[in-house]
Amino acid sequence: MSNHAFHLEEDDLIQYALGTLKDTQLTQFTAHISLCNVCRGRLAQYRTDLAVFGAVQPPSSLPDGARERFLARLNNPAPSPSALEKIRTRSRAYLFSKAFRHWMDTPAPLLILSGALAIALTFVGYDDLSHIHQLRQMQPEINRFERESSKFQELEDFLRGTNAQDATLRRGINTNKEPEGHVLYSAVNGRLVFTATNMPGPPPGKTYELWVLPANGGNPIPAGTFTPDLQGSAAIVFPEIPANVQASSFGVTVEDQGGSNTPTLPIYMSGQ
Amino acid sequence: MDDAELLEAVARKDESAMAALFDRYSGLVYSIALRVLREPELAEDVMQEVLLQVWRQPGGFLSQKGSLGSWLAVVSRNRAIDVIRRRARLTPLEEMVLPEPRNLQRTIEDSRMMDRVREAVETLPEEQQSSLHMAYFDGLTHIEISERTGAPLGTVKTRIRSALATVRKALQV
Repeated sequence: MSNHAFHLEEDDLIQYALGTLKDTQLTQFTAHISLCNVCRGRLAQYRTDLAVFGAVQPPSSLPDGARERFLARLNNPAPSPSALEKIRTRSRAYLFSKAFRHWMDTPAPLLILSGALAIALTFVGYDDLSHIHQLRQMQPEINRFERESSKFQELEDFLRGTNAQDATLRRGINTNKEPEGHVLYSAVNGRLVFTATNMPGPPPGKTYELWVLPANGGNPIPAGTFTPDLQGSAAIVFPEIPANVQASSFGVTVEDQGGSNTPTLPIYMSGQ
Repeated sequence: MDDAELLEAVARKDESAMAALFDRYSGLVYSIALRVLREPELAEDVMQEVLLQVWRQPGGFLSQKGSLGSWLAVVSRNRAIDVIRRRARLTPLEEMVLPEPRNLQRTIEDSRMMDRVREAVETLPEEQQSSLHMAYFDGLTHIEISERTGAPLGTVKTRIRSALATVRKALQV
């Protein structure tokens, strides 16, 4: 599992350790790191370097009463406001006080009229428009992150499992520059992770497609299409595959964009 | 009491053990959160959440004897960065990846070694230090650092790589 011809760049591993990668890279690199002992070891070393870097920073004194406040919470089942909640509350308080100060500066003849407006703004404007608008703006991101967190947890559980089938896909005689794919597959739940290296770009209008070939001789099951990046790397994580399909082997074909329901010969690379 | 003994006592809901653990690590956790967030109130919030998680679920730490300090440093930094990133990405502690399998706590407690690393970090060239600070404490990508500083992307990468190489060298002396 660690004889990859391809390894992640130093800078990518550093960004991985820092947690500053974009989502698409994160998924792809996670799949690779999970299967590559070399990159996992290098990543661990960078994490060590960063942890030590953080630990040697000049210490700051705790705020007065921090210890007492912490100990008081040990047996308090009710959670105190989170950092996010405090920020929301503080934001609303700030907006309210700012509006109030502006109102007090208003010339006297307009006070009554502007007062009514200020009240309306306070209750409707800030609560309903500003605060709720902020929450609405954040909701898609929160939903997206919840979905991704769930997916990563599922991926982690799968990669830690020991009952998955492991296959290497190659084209003919393997050399360091030959395309190579790795499949981790669990027939019980139909979970599959595929990574590939040294893949040339597909012909124009074409894409690669991965197939699971059932052991019972049934029709090949499509397991997702992929297009390698500029370095020739690609990954497929958890494509839709029915559970309880024992696989005899796996293959990759070149198909029209969008993929196919049946593989088009020749098989580009295969393994079992 | 070492960390493992403290954690076992914490698992038995021994408040004095938790207080001792607080005294040992709260400064580290708070300092890192404060560097990221720059607001004492928010940093205390993060520190409380991180250490309360130890109190509520010490089991996640018991299997990682000896690396609690570095683990807490990493978690504090990541949580604080999460607060910055739209305040919504608070990953549960038990799902966090531990920094590495070695006994880092022993490393951190090795004051001579840590002094050496501290000195190495303090004497880093200014541009290396600021690039690594922006990546570590501000959670910026290499591209974002490049845009913010005006330095070419390749230069930013080299600076951060070189800074970490200096840290590693100081660790290995």
